[in-house]
Amino acid sequence: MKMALFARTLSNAVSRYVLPKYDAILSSQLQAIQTRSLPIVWSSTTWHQEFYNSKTDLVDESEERTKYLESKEDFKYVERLIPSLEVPEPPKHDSYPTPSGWSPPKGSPEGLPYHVRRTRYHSHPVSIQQKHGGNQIWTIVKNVDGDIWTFGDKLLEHLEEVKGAEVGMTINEYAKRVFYKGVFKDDVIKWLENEGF
Amino acid sequence: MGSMGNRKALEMVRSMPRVSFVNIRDNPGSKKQKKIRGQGGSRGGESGRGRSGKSKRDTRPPIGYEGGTTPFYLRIPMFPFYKNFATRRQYLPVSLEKLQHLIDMGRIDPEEPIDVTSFVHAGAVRINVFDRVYGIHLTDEGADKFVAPVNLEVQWTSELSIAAVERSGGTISLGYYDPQSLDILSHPLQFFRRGQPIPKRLLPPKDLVDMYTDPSKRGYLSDPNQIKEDRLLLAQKFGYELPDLTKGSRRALHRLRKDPRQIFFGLQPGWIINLTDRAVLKPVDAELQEFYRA
Repeated sequence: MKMALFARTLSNAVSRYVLPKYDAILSSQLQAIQTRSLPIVWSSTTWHQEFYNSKTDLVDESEERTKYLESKEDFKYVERLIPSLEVPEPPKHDSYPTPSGWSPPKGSPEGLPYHVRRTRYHSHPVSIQQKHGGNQIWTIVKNVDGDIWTFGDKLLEHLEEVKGAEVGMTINEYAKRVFYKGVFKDDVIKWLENEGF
Repeated sequence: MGSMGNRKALEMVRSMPRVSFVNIRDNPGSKKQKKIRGQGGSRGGESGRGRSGKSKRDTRPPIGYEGGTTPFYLRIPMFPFYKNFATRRQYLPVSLEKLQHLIDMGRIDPEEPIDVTSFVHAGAVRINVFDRVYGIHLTDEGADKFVAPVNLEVQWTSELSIAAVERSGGTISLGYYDPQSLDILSHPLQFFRRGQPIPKRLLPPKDLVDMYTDPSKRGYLSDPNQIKEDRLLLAQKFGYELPDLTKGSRRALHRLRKDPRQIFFGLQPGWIINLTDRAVLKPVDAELQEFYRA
């Protein structure tokens, strides 16, 4: 009964819940979420249990409401729990590569006809695609700006040297992606780092 | 720009009426005609069931029937592969390599205690308690590369990962969260918006009590003195020098531990969060306080 009263004292306060600072970020981030350029870390769990049952726990409005203390200082513990909607910039390290093996782009030499952008998480845009239960494996390089054909041929030369045999290649110019048949993720990443991307 | 053909096509399109249902058609061959039961090619009359026989009269034998021999599904003895499958607990894996990467990239702050919320907000895991997920399993892949001194709380781990964390000057503990508490911990903002008081975290069930009271697994209900002894034993076993946590700037960080009834650091059960006014509301009533402190 008391818990029901406790909740009712706050029903007005909690009706509008969005932080003003959070609201400003939210509107811009909602647009970004629609274009699928940000991480979505919320899940759609539904643990909406009724705090009080309006049929059985009838609240007598004439009864005195329970008292409570308001604390603004303790809100700092809540602020820590609100997630940032932006991917943070990596902090500056004393030396690269970092213990996990990451290093920022060195910068490619001027005059290169192509450029490979990092992903929004600051990593190389190289991934493995498996189809038909793993019978078909491709290494994909995305975000290739500029002359994608020259880039594809150059990297193909290197991968054929690594493998010692022919390597299949497909270029999707419109999507700025290059596909290499086989597992070459580590080799491609090393090559991209050498190029300065 | 372009050839005469393109230019003519564009002019034609400009003068044409708006595209609507009236002037749209499926590509030839895209839609297959449904089978007709009436007087089709076979002259009909059988309702699509063919001439006399078991298929027409619905007297076919059951699936798996092998003409009289004992069917395969009766020959092979039953084995309970999926017994109690729906009640089994899942712990989502996060490797030490991944944790080190997240710290290097600034997605997890090593100066603050790390728990399930940090992993979810960094995007390393997506926790859905309705999949019977009971927390995070810290795997030992990347144990050689791990160097960050952290205050870590997970729900399952191995001896090697405990050693890797303690060698780099950190602490690790295993904490149990019941499904409701884990849901609240993984999605705190969603919970604060409900205007409900923070619930008490429940104690582990019978089959998990042994794990969470075991000092060698750094359980949160185990004796801290025994944990201290076990840290030395582990350092001797794996052959590294145990760093002294009582000295240094991170001393306060490594002492932070949650109460067994607490879900969030700094926030107690029974408190309600008011996001609009940026305040925390605490009950004053003695009965309520006694309930939430139990």
